[in-house]
Amino acid sequence: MSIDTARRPTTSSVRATASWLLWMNLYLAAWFWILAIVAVTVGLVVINQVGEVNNSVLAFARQGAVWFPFSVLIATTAAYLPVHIAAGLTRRSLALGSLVAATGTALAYGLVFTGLLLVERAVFDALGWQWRILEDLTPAETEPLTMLVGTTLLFVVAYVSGLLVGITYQRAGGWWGTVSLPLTAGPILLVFALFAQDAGPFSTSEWFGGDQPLLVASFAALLIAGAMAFAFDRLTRGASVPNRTA
Amino acid sequence: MSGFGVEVRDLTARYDTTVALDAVSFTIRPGVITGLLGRNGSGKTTALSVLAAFRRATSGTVLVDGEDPWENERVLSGTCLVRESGDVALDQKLKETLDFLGDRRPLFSRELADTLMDRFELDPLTKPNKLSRGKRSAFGVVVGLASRTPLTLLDEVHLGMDAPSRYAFYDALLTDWLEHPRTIVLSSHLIGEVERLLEDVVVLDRGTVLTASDAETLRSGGVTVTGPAEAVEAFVVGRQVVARQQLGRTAQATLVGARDDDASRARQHGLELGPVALQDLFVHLTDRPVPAIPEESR
Amino acid sequence: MFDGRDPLYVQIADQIRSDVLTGALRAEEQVMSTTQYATTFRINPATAAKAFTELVDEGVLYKRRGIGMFVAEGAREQLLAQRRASFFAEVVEPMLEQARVLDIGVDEIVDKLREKEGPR
Repeated sequence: MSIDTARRPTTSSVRATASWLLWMNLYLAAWFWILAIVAVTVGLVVINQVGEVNNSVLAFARQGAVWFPFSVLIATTAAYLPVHIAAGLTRRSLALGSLVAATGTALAYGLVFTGLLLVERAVFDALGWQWRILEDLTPAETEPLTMLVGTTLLFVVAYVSGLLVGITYQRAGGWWGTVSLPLTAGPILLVFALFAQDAGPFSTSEWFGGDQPLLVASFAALLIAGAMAFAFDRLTRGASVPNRTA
Repeated sequence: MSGFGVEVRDLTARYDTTVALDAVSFTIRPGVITGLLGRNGSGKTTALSVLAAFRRATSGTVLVDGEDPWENERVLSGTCLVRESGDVALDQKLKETLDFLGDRRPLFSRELADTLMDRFELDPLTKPNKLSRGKRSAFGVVVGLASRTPLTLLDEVHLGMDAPSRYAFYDALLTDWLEHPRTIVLSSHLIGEVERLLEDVVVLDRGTVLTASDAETLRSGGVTVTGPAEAVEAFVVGRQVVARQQLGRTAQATLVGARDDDASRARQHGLELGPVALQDLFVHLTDRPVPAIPEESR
Repeated sequence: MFDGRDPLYVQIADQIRSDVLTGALRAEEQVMSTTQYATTFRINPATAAKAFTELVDEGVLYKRRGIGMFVAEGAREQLLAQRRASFFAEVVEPMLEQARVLDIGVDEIVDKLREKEGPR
């Protein structure tokens, strides 16, 4: 037996970890969006029966698309750590793989959400309904690129936050995990505000003269996501596998 | 070389205020089946957890194949720790866990895994949280052996298994070890059945190393002396007696530290010498004085 | 099996020696391999190997490269000579020692032995 065969490049274990976690999240995403489409269709039929359809119903799925993967990632971060380490992999590859998977998941949710909104708008137009987004989504809410960038970045922050909340509970226990929620999950609410038009001082629509609100908000969201990713990486690299009794 | 060797120097590990390991030093020879013995809470699992980088040492040095295992990709991919609780995804089918490990363990043998799954009567389509303790341990054995890692650490895995499964485990362990020699550490507090499988033994007690040697030396260090009570007492003067039994006028004393002239002296005094099973020796060595029960509670 | 006081490898070697002495294993007969021995009796292979090495060193067994281990020609005779020598040291002498303590004469012992053996 040669010990050298045990050598394995870092990139491949990061890729394996990322794709494994990504597929798990995409599997759940498929269910999420199938259920969302069914719910929106039923909702539209019902509203059309009792009154007048005058705003997007699908837009409300954004809250679910933020918080559902967020909670899934909290759970998987705690549960997957022992499995990953026990398989002879490094914490480094776990941290990087998880971040890549969270970003990929956010991109998938962002693309599907934007795509479905466009489909919904086309259906509304065909049926002569008024399509608008009640929830204050983005500075230019009907622009597809703006919707895509805004929601995807919001999801990125939310999902990285899920990882961070998960590892904080794992490292610090229930009490400190809860106490630090404003730091670990609070940034999601901040990014909601950054992309909103009417969120007081947090709304980026007035910053730097208000010329490029999307750019400013995106930059701020990326900074926040980066800081959280850094914290997640640090905490993961020092994590112990807890003693679990069967 | 076959398998990773391990060097542990002054290893201390603390959990908050509890000291699990106190400046422990020992060596595990590459390519050898070693027993890590100790009572519950003696620090076995903590020591193995540090070797497999499940947790960090508080202080001290641990070298696996000459390197610090912490975040060491080469060493970690060649180290497999199977704890009794089993660190596998609880909501995944066993088959999926084997697929997962096959993609991650460079030397993983799916063929061996499938053979062992059959032998232990494990259904690849069930999930770990549906398994009995014994079956879950058996799956741990499948994972540990099929990974064929140069350093395989099996922590109390055989305890929950029924007798036929345990024998199947011992047979599979020996057969596969002969074909693919590697370093294997079996940790346990119950060693009766495994003692003959061991070449080396490290005994931990209350976070320190009680003894570390080859199994034969440890075993031959123990001897029982049986015969008339007075003759036995005369024989054991000045010796380390770890246990005494008496039945009528016949007494038996268990000694640690056999001497070369024991056999001839015993013959001279009409005494009989007998072996001490490693398990008994271990129980005697790690025996704690029973605290006196307070008068009131009797 | 193998629960005596001697080291395990000594007991394994003794077992094979007895088999040669009793004729259960004949000259030029192949013996179990270390691997077979280890797996059959669930013994650490290194321990079993040590017993076989000892027997090879003694000349009781010999190796045929790539085939296995065999009982050497004349192994039984060699073992008999050794056992005869140790019989007096380990059996006869302690017996005489005891006899002296109990005041039993050598003639008495010889008579007893003749009686046990029966007429030839």
